[in-house]
Amino acid sequence: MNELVPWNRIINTKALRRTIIRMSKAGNSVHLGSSFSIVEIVATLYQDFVRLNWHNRNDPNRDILALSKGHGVMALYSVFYDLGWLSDKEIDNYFASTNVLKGLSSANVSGIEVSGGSLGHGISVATGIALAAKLKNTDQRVFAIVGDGEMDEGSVWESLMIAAHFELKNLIVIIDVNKFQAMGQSKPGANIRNFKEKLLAFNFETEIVDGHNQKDLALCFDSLLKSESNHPKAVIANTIKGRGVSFMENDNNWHYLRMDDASYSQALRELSE
Amino acid sequence: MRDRLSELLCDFAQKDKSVYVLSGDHGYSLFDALRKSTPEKFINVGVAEQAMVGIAAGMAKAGLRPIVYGLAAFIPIRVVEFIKMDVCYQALQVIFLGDGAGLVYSTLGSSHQCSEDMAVLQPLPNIKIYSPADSLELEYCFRQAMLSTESASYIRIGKSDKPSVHGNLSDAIPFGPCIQVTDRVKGSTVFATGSMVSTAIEIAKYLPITVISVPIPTDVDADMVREYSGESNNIITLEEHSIYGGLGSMISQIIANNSIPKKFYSFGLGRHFTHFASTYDVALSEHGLTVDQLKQRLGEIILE
Repeated sequence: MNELVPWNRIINTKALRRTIIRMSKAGNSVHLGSSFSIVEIVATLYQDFVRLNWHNRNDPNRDILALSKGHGVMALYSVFYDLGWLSDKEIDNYFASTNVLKGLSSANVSGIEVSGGSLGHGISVATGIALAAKLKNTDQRVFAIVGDGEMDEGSVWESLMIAAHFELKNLIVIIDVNKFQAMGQSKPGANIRNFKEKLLAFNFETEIVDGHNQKDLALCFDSLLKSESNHPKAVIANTIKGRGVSFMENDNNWHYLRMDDASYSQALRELSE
Repeated sequence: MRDRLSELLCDFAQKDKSVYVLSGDHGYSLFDALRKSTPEKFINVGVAEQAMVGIAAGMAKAGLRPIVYGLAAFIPIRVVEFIKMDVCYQALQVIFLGDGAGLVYSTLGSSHQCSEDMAVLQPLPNIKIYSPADSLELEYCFRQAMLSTESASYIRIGKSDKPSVHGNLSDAIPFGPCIQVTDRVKGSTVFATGSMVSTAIEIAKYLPITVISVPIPTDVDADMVREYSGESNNIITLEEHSIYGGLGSMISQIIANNSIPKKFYSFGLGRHFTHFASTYDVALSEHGLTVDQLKQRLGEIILE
């Protein structure tokens, strides 16, 4: 009963987005765009690659999914709801007085591995977990999702350099390149091609993938995990901020805008089956 | 003190397979023995202090016992937010060693001097501050920190070649947050920590003071302040740390919050950078902390 396996069931990404919309409306919360850009990434990882003990969420040998860009936390909550880890009550009472689910990823919430509210932290902690796995000689996988805006942080590059130096081959860094950060477009250098060149120069085995195509994501993770090389791995995911709701896509206002009744209804209509 | 630290690191690295020592490319001869006896237990992360703290947090989450070494000017000062969010927020058992605290690096200048490490850590939950005065206190602090299962630890290591304050009879020392280190006399009580304990003992040869060493400043409470200050009218604190946010702040707060009816005076580093690049004593003198200066300054209070 203690087998470590992925969820191995289809996670419906439209349903995830509906959960995010529902939470966001209930809590009047922001960061919709940041959550929508990583929905397919987290769904694919939990579905097929993050091996957990489904009877003990804290199994010390579990794989780790570290959401370093903590602003996308509602994407994690939506998966947790799908997995049965969160209840309707918790989703519908987001930010209510007795709810511990925060607006940024917090490692004190069951299922969340690192605190990502302050950027450039989760990737460092994930690197430490991967280093521990190497020192203990286990095959534990550590996935770290960072944002293209987050790549501004110096500690990200410190971590990448250290991960390559110690040959943490089970560390898989996923960069969510949605081309925006809080105050506007990401820097001119923060694009797909540039990130690939930088990560290759840092000795990462690097792939570019359509971050909304689950089949491509799965093939990419699969091939990287089968790689014989000792390099850490990087997946540069080309994504769309606000993906899934027409009026939110590539409109960076939805980094901080809250929905009114009309936008809420329209978003749900677009996300219906 | 550094010799004892080196022995302790080797000892724990050898007998506890979860212990790893991380350094941000600092430490030099402190790690010679460790690198020889158990080289696999020493991890030079490189000049990347922020990531080093996050990595230590990850290792602790994975069940290892990381000991993070750096100069106090960098660990904790440069990385305080990483200590707060990656380590303290989850109450992880990471031990931080902040070396060269105070004015030890007198010739290197203000980048390597550190008067504010206790001040930045004091408000953080889930971390205990240790400030040993000699190698025996260091060993006591280190073992306490290793035993801790509920919090992180910061061990402040200041001027390390000062005289021992306890002699060599560790069995006879009543270790605790406060330790009386001179005979009780009528007069004033000096609570001192780290390098300033031996300074206070020296001053006690000339002035009527009772010296209390404080190796665990964050554990001092009102009962201890009352007990150790005895019949003294004056409570004086002495530290090679800023008078803002260190031992003096902690004890003055205890005195004020508990209406302890004593006069209070704090001595420590002032709010200014050192000017000269010279000896440790010259640096101390810029802050009025040499033995001669303190004899004079304390004398004015005590003999008034």
